[in-house]
Amino acid sequence: MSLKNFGGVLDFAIQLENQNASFLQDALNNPETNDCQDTLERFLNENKKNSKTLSRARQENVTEMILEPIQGLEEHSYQAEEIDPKQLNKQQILEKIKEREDKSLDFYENAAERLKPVSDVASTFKRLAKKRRTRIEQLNSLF
Amino acid sequence: MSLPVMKNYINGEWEQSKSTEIGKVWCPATGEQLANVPYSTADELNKAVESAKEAFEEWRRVPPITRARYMFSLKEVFEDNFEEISKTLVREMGKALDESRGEVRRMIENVEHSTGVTTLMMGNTLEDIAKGIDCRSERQPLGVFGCIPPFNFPAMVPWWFLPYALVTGNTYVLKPSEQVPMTQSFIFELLEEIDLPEGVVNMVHGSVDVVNAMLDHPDIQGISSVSSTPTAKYIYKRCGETGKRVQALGGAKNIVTVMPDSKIDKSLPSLITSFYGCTGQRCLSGAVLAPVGDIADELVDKFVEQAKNMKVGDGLDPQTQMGPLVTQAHKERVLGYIEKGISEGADLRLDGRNPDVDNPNGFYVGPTIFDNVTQDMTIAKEEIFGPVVSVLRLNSLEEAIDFANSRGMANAACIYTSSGASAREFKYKVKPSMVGINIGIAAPMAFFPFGGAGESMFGAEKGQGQDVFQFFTDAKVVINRWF
Repeated sequence: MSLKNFGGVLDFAIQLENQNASFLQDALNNPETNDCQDTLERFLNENKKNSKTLSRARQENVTEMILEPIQGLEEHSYQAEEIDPKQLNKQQILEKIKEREDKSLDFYENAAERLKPVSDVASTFKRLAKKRRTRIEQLNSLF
Repeated sequence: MSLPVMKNYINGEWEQSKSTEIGKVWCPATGEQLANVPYSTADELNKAVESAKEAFEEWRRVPPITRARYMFSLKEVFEDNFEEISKTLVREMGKALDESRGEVRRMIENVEHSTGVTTLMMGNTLEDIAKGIDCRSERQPLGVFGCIPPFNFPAMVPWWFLPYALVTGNTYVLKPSEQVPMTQSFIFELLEEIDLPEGVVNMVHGSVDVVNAMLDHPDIQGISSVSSTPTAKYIYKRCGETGKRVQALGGAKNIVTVMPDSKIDKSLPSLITSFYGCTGQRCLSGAVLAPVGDIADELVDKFVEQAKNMKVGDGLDPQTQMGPLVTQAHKERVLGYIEKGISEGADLRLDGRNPDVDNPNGFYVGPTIFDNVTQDMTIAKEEIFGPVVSVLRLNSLEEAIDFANSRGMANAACIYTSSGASAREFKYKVKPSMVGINIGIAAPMAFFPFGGAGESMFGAEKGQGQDVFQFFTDAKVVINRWF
């Protein structure tokens, strides 16, 4: 589905953070991840915080001025395959998390570009993209 | 399944109206009935006013900082329920969810602005106006105020007034629009969470009888209303007869001028928003698109192309860019104007009469564009309040200014240009008092006054801003000398 308006983009971003948080929670319940619990817990808490940040942006940065059509953002391009991390080994779990992080990074970068007229939200997306880049580096060190 | 009849809120209690006259509340997206609304009686209005009058004597003595704290608490309650308010609004009014969120944001901004009462309600003092004589002016609350809002902004419009009335020490009676009463009913449920004293705010559902009872009631000190121009005139006149303060905002027919030096591609998104946001049902919507000179062909072609691709549908669908009209009756009224445009000889470039929508029972009209409209055509003169654009091709900036000033209604006017000189000339000379420069919806935020000129505004003080603090208070002047 195309994301055509401001609210739709932010709803999707919140959904993305919540899905990633849920995946991380399940991954943390898998003993395979015992030696990287600290990192994954930190990621999980960040996802929860990001979700709140995005909800606030949706609530506070909506005005009549930004009901402008958005083009070129397709949900499916940024959604990771749904898979239960309880069935995976550590390597597979980390690969799946990395896949999710890469897709989130792509989404935030592209969405920031398309939401330029809404500068507050574009800045939030850029900040979240930057965080994602840091997380991807941290993830790479765990492989 | 029978739907419940909505209740009034009087003296801190939810009460069923005794009226047997009942109206229906519709979901514009599906055409289904959502609720029943009572057309309450004058006696019920009297009871609400009585309770507000009684509450006033104590409420005016509550320190302004304490009254402001109620508003701080209320802001938190509104933030916590932001999505629910927004979605309730979409269900009964039809606008797209993003637009609804924008409206609720504006409502909350007024609550925020009202908390500045401790500064904004202050008076003035001057020593020695004559030798040994000092003078001061104090702003005092007046008593009970009433509000008669329209259907198009069911959350926001009452809150252009209500929080300011309360923080300045007045008490309040609101009659929500009978077409969209659910949003304020939900908001009043939330109001209960901040424990205002009984009687400080009251809500009476109803129609003409309640309006007339409000206008005639000797204990209501002032009325704030937003409506069509004929209704605003009626309210203004009747309030004058009963000696009330009044701020009656009326209709609009806003011109959006596009100069040859404007940047079309950058302007288009906000032009689309101007004409089709809220499905054209707002007093700040563009109504007449007036390209000046040789920009017209390119502008109109591109505008038609963008409008054609808008997704019309249920406001709760995240894909939707433009929702339905508020009622079947209003849809028929708008369709009547489209027929009128055709019969008077305008060129129908985009026909929205049969839009492609998921639910044909909803009250939908798609984006509609008439080109080569002339100034004498009905669609160039009357307020349509729908997604119908009249393109009026003009030859000069002066023509655009003359057109803007030739209407009785003078609410808003916008200009798109790269020239500071043209922009200044336009804003300097046009009569409408909300002006957008490369902005298609010239909506003042809570800390600026909201209201038009001419037949778009009756009364001296506008909503919001500092004006509204004046409206809700009397300047008492005290001159003193001590022997």
